[in-house]
Amino acid sequence: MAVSDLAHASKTGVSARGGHVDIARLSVLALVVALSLLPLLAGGFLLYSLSLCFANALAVLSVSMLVRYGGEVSIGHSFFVAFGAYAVAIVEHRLGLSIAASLPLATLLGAAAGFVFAFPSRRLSGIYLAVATMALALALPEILIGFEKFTGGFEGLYIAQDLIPGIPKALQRYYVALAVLGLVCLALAHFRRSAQGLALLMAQAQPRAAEAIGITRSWARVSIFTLSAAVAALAGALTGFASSTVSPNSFTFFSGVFLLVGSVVSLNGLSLPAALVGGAFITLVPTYLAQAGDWVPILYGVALVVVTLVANAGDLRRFLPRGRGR
Amino acid sequence: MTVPAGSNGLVAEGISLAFGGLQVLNDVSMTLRPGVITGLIGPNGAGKTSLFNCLTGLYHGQRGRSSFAGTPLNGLGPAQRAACGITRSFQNLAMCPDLSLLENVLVGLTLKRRSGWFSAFVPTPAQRAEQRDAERRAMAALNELGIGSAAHEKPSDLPPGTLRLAEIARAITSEPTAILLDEPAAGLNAVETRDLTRALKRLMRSDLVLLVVEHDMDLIMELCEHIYVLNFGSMIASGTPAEIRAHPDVIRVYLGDDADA
Amino acid sequence: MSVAGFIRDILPLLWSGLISGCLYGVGALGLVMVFKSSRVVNFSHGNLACLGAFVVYGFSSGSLLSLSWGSAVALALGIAAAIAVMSYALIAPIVFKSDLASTIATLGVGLILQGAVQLVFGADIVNLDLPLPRFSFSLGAIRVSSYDLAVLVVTLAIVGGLFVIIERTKLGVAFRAVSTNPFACEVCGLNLRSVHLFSWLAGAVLGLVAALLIVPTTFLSSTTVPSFMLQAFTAAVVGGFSSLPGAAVGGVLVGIAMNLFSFYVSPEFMNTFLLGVILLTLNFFPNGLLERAIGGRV
Ligand SMILES: Nc1ncnc2c1ncn2[C@@H]1O[C@H](COP(=O)(O)OP(=O)(O)O)[C@@H](O)[C@H]1O
Ligand SMILES: [Mg+2]
Repeated sequence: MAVSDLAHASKTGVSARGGHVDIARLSVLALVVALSLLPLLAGGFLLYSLSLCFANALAVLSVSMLVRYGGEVSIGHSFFVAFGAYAVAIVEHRLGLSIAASLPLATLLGAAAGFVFAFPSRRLSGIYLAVATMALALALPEILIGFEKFTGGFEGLYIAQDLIPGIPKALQRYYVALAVLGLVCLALAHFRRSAQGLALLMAQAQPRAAEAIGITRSWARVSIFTLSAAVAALAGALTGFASSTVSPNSFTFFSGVFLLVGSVVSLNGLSLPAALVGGAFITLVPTYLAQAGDWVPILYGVALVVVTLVANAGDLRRFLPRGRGR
Repeated sequence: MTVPAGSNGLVAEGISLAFGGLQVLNDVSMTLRPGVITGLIGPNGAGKTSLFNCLTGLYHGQRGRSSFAGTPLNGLGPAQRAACGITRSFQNLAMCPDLSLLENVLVGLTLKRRSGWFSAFVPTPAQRAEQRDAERRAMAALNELGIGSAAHEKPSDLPPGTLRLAEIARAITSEPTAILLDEPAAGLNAVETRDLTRALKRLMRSDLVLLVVEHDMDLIMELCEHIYVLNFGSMIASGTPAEIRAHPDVIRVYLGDDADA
Repeated sequence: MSVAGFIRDILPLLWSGLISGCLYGVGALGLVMVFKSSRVVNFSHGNLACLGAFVVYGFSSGSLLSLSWGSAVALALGIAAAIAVMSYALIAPIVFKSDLASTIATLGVGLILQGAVQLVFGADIVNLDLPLPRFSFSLGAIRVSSYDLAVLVVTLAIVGGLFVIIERTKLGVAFRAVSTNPFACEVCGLNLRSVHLFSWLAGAVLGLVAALLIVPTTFLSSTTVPSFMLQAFTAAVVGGFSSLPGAAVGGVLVGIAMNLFSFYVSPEFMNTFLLGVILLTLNFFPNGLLERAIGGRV
């Protein structure tokens, strides 16, 4: 199906295959419409939670990209998320610019950080990368607190500037987060069919065959990590904008692990619904289980183990959606 | 890219390869001339795949030299050799399970594709045209091997014969200057084998280096103009099919080979 | 800085780096044992060690029971061993299928253990000392304490014991075979599961021992031991991740490097320093610093 509806990759609703209405696509469209109209009905707190949820969904998506296209796990993506969030805050404080400037900047900086991080382990198996991401996650709080001059130390920084002055803050946060999330999902759907996307999937599934057609492991490793870090930084920029503040409290060692949990719970899906499931899981579980704080790691741990076992148990596999990498 | 006049295709000289104490290849030389379908035969475990891997850069022999169209290949990895125009198929099927058959062939064109990172995420007219062109080429390769009808299926839903042909389609779709096929007929039924033989003959051009590795004598005898015979890591004979058929060493090796073939 | 001052500082720094490095090495040995046999990076290593240390605390301090230190340690070893067996049993169905999935599953186990520690012991910060006679003596510029001696003795005993097991016993031969070529071992009828179990048990014991010995230098909380394991991970990477001697040597190198960095540069960026060490090692010595001596990996 990939080919025939290729020209329609960005159009939703009708797939080109025989003109049949594609139910999956229609329901995604319905979801987008419903989410776009929601602010007419819902109040401030729900909108605020959903904006955070969208930003987290994007962060989860960045981890899922790495798993799907790179076959790698990262428990340190909180680093790139924080990178993006602090980029927005620092650009506002130092240069007085809004996210119109800092969102693209944060994405580019995130890509650069991802490249620098992935480059050393470009020839090694993914396990070394996973270990290095653990160091990344543990170094993050130190860096945020240590470079107080830029990051505001324990206190963190406020993000006050609007994107479009005059429109209520809650609506801005909500729609910016939703729009960016939706666009990234569309871009990823297109990416799945691009030359680079196919090459990455091949390199992950059949590294030797991929080498024989000119796709090197180091290219694949560095490319996917750079992309994924860029998306993570974009997610961080949205998180900062949506919550109007950045501080080390939101980026502990466990934030990175939780992003992985969100990705695993959404079966590493790259579609909008999958990302929303992952984002909702890591946004809402801690909020609603706040009294049961100590149970959260246990719940997350059980979720990781159960989903991983079930998804890899062979026979159970066919109950899962087909078509990885979508 | 054409082979410059005077050069002699893909050449391997004095290749020796050992794994620990196991001598897998022993001072093996072969010349693959353009325009000639060359066969490499030998019983299981003779070292055919290993020699193949040396030619494609997956293994690096302890001794020996190889060159392609006059350019030395020593020290180059598989991806660099692919960039020189050498492609291969794998004896163990190497399909990506997430991609459709067509997409699995499409990745064979990766080095030829020109669309950049921006158009990987954002559709542009140029990118779409390029994509259509690439798909047309991949589809042509599938049709060439008679499996165009399975283009949109997932590898897991297809019989091994089709996958093997798709593997070959991937190797030929980028119009390489050297194609190395490792046991292309393994797992194919009689009809598929005949299709394959025809397709390979059609494929042959005067500037193409084509090597077919097999332990099935009959296919090789029908297909190839020049044949090398490997046994226990040493080249024991080389020549035309008629010469090989009459070669005493080859007869000895293949006597009672029925269980193997 | 004067030369004399430098010399006065450097020897004690090297010495205490050596002592803590021994412990990083012991922690790293546990990681490498598991990785060599089952190709899984065990991210629950630190959490299990932390739980074990808390069990020792709970059973010896009176917060749960007031047993002697020795019996508390015996109990903790038993519990850690049982949990190691259970965690291996959990990932056993997928351990041959996907390194990635099994590694993710160990993270899940780690989170569960982390939550268990927080549930039972809260976010308390407690002290857990070794029952050692307190004495110390000077050796030139170096002050050697009873703690230092205990660490050295235990490390040497453990490394020696491990060496004897791996070189001299049937299980050790199987372990070496499995870590070189699991497929061939399977074909030859070796039981991979028992080798895996051996390495997971050994890993748990090594982790707990390292945790018990490191805790007296700081304090015990639900986060100290897991983050201490970053040192162990770094040591393993420096040693090449699949070399046992490499892990031990890597531990000592990391211990000394950390001490020097925190004294001469900054004590606030230790994890960032370790991140740098990991990245530089992966870039310049992808097979570990001892690559030459031991030979590359596949
Ligand atoms: N990577 C390897 N490590 C160890 N031995 C190998 C390796 N690859 C091939 N061999 C050995 O080399 C010999 C020749 O194998 P191969 O080249 O696959 O033979 P053929 O393709 O002719 O059947 C066999 O004995 C095989 O076990
Ligand atoms: Mg072979």
